[in-house]
Amino acid sequence: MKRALVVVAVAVAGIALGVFAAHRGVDEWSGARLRAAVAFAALGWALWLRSRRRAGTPVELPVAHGVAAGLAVIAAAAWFDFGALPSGTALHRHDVFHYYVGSKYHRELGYTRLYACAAVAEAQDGGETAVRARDMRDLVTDHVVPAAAALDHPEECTSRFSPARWRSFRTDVANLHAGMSGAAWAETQTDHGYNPSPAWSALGGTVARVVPSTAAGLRALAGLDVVLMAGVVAVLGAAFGWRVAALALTLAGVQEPGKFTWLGFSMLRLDWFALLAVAVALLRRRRPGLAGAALGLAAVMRGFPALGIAGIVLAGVGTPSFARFATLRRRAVVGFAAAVAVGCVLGAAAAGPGAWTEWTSHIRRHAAAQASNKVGLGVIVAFDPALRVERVQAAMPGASAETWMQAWADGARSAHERSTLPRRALQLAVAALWLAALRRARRPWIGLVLALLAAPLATDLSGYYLVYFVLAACLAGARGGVERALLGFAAGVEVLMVMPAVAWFYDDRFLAISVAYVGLAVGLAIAFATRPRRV
Amino acid sequence: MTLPPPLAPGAAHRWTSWPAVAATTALAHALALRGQLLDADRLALVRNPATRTFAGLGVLLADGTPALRGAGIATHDPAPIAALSTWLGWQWFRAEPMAQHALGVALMAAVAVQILRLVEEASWPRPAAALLALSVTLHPAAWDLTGALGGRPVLLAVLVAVAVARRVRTAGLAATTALALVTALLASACAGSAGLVGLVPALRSPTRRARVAASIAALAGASLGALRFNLPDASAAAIARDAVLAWLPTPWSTPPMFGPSLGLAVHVVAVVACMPLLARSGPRTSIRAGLAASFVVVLLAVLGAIRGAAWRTEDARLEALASHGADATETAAASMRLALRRHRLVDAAPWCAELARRSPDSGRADGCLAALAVTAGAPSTAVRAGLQRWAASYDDRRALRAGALELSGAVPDARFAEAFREATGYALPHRRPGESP
Repeated sequence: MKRALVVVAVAVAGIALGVFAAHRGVDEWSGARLRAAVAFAALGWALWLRSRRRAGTPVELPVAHGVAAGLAVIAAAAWFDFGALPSGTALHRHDVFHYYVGSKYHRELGYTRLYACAAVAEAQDGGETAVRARDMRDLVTDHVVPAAAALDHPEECTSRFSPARWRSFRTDVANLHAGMSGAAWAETQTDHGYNPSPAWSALGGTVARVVPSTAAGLRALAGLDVVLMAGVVAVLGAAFGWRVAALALTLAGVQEPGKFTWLGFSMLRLDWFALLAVAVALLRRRRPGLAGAALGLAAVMRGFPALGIAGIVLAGVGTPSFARFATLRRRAVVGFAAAVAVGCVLGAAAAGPGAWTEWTSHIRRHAAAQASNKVGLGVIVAFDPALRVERVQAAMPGASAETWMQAWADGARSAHERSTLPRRALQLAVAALWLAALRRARRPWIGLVLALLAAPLATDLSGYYLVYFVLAACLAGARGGVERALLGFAAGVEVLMVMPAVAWFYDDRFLAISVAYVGLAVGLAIAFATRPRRV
Repeated sequence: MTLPPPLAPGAAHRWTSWPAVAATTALAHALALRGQLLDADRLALVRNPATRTFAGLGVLLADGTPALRGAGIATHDPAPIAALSTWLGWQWFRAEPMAQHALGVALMAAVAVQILRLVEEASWPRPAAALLALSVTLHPAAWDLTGALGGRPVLLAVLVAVAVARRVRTAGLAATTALALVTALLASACAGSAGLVGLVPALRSPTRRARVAASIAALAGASLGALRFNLPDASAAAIARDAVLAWLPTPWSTPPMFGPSLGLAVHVVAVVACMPLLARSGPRTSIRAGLAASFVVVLLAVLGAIRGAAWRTEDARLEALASHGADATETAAASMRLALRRHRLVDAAPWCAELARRSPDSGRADGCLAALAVTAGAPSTAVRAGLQRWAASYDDRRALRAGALELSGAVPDARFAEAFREATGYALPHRRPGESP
């Protein structure tokens, strides 16, 4: 009872303060300040508890737990910017357009025709003038071209649809276009297309066929991720206890890469994340088959979670615990393989027999394309100060955005190619470090989390995928100091995001995020690779 | 089963003292949150494009932070940590006055806590430790540090010094000496003239030999730092003079040119220097607590007495200047100030005009002229312009306060107070008990 009262009191007071601070609206900078304040409060509380414990006068449990849980609730409110969301954000139409339309019409659109067919549909619905006035990204060449090019051969789209499907497609495009300004719509059409795997298309397409693209239907879709996020916290709480759940909720609320403006009110952008959380929780609860299956499904949805199986297989290698978990490991691998197989079959059934081949070549092309929100070791190694967007812009005064962006992308691509050798060398060194960490991990679930954290070192990801670093909260009970380190890390990242010198240009911002997250992953690996200190 | 050792007496309440000291300090300095940015702050923050980018940080570290010195003359403060703090200040809080001042208040509270812990670790009773910590952070000079952004580097220097001092108690001779030297250099890198706080860890050294060696190292570090990081036109003699004068009341220096940094630095050194003396005065806690309290009370009383005496001394000095001054400009200035200090604005009027005629570019008469204009009902914009020019003729906020105190006594007019607030961003000050300008 006392604990509940403390939770409510802290949460109400904190949220009231947050709402007051945000009542005039929240922009990039003030949002980062609010998140930093919450992260610092949580860090301060963790340090205070430790000090009291060391002094021999520990804070009584209901208060200690209550305040931590209250701070987690405040962090959850901070993810929603304490309610100061710009009008119209009840739906992230930019994202939903890609995921809803891309998955529902995957058979017809593939990975390369989304923008071209949207342009044709828009023109047929009376928007030809607007289409001829705007640009779109050619998803084959990855260059931005005049959208009018799509109108030269409309049959390349229409011939792939049945008349009923084409009518449905036009309706969906019109519905999603309806709530957007001209500029926002034009920006949507120059993004990098629809990139999920065929397996996700099977899931997303099924949901999109069931839920109509009406305002109410889309809002319902947008709520799914909030439910999934709540589910992640609940699952972690059930497997690891309240403290890990509170830490995970705090980290989720104050993080930068997966903040609301990236992921909020979109369509099923957190399904793979929820599956990863389920996998870790099930492994902790000794349900290896199901855990492997969840991991396998996450892997066929987004690819990089497949790294996790290496963590399960290698955890405790070379130690007595390796043999102890042999059965568990075997079941996890079987579950993983079965889920991957099922996912592949479902994907092929939903998107067509050649869909996986097409996705593989598309995702390679997509990975090679330069975007300023990429994160990972590759971004750090390829960094060249002369190629910063600020410098490129300064070197091309008066150039159009498209011109300097293309120049930047070309330069970044060649820098990325030049840095292949040092990147591979670093990855080898990192692999050795991870092997040492996994050897000491002893428990398969620790191995799974550690292996997942290696993803940004293995490949470059779009920044928002780093949301899954929330799962590092699971490690809080395995090594002393992880909780404080994670809270300090979250606060530190937000402090950086307040600074225009770091965060004004997106390439600088995501370089800083890359350094921070790669540094965190390496730091955690080192913490696990070394013998824990006795307290 | 082994039971844990019993708690030391009062251990259960160990954590109650520092929040109280921090909160008291923060509350006492809370008025700083209402302050606007001064000219010097605007020069360093708002009108300084170098604070915007990483490249700008390089420029700031190489060339120094833009600063004002004497009558609004622009110069550069070469202290690198001051430059970094200015850059970070803009990056985190932009030119938001409340947030900028809140950082100063938070640093002051941190200083209070560090001093409290330092003294507590020397086995002092908690009330005495709290009193000592508050005597530092509630020192009259301390308000200048939170009231202007220029005080932030000094607070950082003091914070570093006290934090290091907490760790030298168990260090050896070489480590203590090195720490004192590094602290003095770091403090100088924060604020060129604050290297003296390197003496704080030196005085906390465990043995006499270590104290001597560390003190010499600290003085050497402070001298090196002052030569390297002080304002370009500050001579070693001027630094030494300021170090002494800062501890003494303002009017003893003509005009009051010293900044608040040395005042606080010397205060901290003096307080910490007294600790070993008091610790030897008796084994009983009550005696030490009583001595500590007496020390603080006597210190404050002496300060008040010196300030009161200084006020009279300053009057006598001004009278001498007004009667027998060789320089007509200084005679006019002294006569004007005397009249103002005696609350006779009408008597000051002809001397204001005379000073303005003889020294039109200095701005020294503009405050008096603005006061006269207010009483004559002139528009507030003209008054504000005059007051801005007059305020710019002062080096820092402490000097500005000294001048403003003379005006505030002579012009008890709400319109003047409003114009002053609009022109300088500060409320028109009034004398505290025992305070001289």
